[in-house]
Amino acid sequence: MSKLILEAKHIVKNYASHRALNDVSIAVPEKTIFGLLGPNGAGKTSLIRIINQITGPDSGDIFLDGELLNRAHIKDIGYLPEERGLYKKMKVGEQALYLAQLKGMDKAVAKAKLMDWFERFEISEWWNKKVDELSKGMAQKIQFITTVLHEPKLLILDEPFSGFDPINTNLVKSEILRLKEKGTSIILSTHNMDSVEEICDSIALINKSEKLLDGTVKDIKDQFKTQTYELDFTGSIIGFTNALWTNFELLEKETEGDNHKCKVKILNNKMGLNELLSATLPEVKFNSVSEVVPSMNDIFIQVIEAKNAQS
Amino acid sequence: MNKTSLIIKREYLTRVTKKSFLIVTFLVPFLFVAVFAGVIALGLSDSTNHNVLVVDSSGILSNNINGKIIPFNTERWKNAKDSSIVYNFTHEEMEVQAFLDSDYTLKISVDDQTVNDENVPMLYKELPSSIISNKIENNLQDDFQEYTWETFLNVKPEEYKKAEVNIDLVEQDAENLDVEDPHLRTRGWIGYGLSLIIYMTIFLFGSLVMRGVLEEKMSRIVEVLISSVKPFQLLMGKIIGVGLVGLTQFILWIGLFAVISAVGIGIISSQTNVSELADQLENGSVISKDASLEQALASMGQAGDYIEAAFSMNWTLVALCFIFYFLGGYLLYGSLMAAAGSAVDAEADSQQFLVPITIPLIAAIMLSQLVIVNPESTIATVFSIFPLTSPIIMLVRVSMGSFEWWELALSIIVLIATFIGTVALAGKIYRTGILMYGKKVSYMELWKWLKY
Repeated sequence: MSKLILEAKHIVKNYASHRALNDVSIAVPEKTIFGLLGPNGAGKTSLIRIINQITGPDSGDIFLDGELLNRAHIKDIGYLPEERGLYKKMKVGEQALYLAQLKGMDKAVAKAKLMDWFERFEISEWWNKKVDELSKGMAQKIQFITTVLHEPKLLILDEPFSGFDPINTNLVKSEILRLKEKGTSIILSTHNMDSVEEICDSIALINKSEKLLDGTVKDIKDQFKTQTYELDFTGSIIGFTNALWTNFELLEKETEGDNHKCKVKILNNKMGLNELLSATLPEVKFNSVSEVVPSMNDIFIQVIEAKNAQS
Repeated sequence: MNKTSLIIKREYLTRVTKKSFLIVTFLVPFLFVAVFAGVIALGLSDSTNHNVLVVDSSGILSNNINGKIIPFNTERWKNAKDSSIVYNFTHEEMEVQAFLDSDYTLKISVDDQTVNDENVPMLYKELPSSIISNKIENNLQDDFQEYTWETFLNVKPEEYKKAEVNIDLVEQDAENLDVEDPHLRTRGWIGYGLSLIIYMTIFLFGSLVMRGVLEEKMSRIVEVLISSVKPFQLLMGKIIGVGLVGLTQFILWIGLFAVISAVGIGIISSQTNVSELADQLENGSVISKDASLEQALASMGQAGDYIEAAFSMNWTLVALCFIFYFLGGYLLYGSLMAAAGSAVDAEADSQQFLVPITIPLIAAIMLSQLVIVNPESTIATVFSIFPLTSPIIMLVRVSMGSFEWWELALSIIVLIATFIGTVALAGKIYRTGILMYGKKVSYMELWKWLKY
């Protein structure tokens, strides 16, 4: 297993009236993108705030890069909160410099790096504008830059795509991937399951203060595979259907003239695609065959509904 | 650079470089002086001229010389100093309608009965200012006094003047007999003025701190900030930064004030006779036109009193106390107001917490008047040590010079201890409050936050 950038062990956090985190452990491998998923109020923000040392856990330990988390780690973490904001009356450049210095950066270094970022984002002319002269999307860009400027080892992004139009979403997405390539580890807290599939390497799913599921995206998908295949063929649908005996179940069919698209689930664990194909091959001519992989969205809903049904 | 000093720097610079700061800083002294000068100028040029008819039907105050009715005391009624009042004596009563149709603005009627009634009716067309009424009343008082002495006791006015005495009670501290002290209470009022400044600046800069906290909370930048610095650093940075803005403004005000006053006094004294000004202030008594400044001061009544009292103050001690109590009071109230700001979502909701915070401050201002009356009472001692009122009350007592050293020492220690405690408590509320949105916070809730 690869080295962990962050490890949270048995974190418990209580507020006056409720428990926000109940024995939650997560392990974030270095130089990967880790998706922290869960419905609203699950405890994601509480966990993120603990990692940022905004609040402390009631019990449990956090290790960053192998060391017990402490104030010196502030400069190693970059945090983009879900509720974003900047000083409205302050000039963009001045403000970005201030935030960088609070993270412990030297002023001159911060300024040079900021210039680079502003050029890459093509926003150099905003330097002397006040934030309240900018649009919401523009302010989000500034905020993103101030989050990553000090080149943190660990970047925590809470719903980073909210508030961006599709073009800027892509810009941010490609920046996130670029940062990953440069060796930054990233925790992405989001509801946007498409982006999870696209960019996350591993995830943890939190619901009602507890972790329900974690692992790499691939493992989880494998775990939730249902042996279902989509078959595209030409020929007799009746012959095809008759060829499916008790071990198979026809879930969906779509017919267009002589062409058929069917989803078939293999009910018998001991069987696989080969058995399915050999059973139906004499009847039809296959055009394409693919495995139906559950989307993260499906898994998310499935796991949480199952859990809610239990309790 | 240390993070707290970075925060202080930002808080300070963003405020002092604002246009509104410059405007307030430069405009306030001008306005102040302009208003003050305006009042004096208005007083000097009270343009309402009064033409007073004195109907002396029994000939008590005047007699008929060659068909002209002339008052016995021509000097008094001639009123050389003040041409805005012209007196005309007559022995003939005038009907009300005739008065209304005449050029006279006021009509006074005196007769034999007046001595018994001690009431003089005065008819007016437009109510004269109390200054005018007082002048007329003083003249009548003096005239009638002379009349009764002469008529009933057969004492001439000159002899009466000789016999007149005017006693001042001079209070003296038995432990400090060297110091003559006729200005104790006047100094108290000067101290009251100083503590009013403290009171206003605590409000002003306390609410600046509160608004700063709210700004960060409402713009949501606070979560980013406290992922870089401790909430307590952010709180202290803000309180200190705004406090420095306050000090800067004070210093600029004092400087500007001195300059403007110097220029203003120069202009006024070049245009008006000082004694005339003094006469206005003193409200009524007559001094000769060529009176020197010292005489003017001496005869300025209250204003002169204040200047003399100011000279009798221990300004080093008062200035040190002023700075200490301003800073101490500001830190104490500023941190409470910051906590209040952190507990709400919008400025409008802050009232429920602000009102209880400001009550002791307002009470202190009211109490300080009692303290001037009785500076060594138990109430004065208690409230000059109680930290929420000491910045006001103790400053008044120090200005009066009416305090024990142990009281001052205790007051200072208690204030320091309290603001340290308060800042710590405010920090706890702040820490929780800044991340709490959309929740109506009760006092019970605040109590819980203290224990997190």
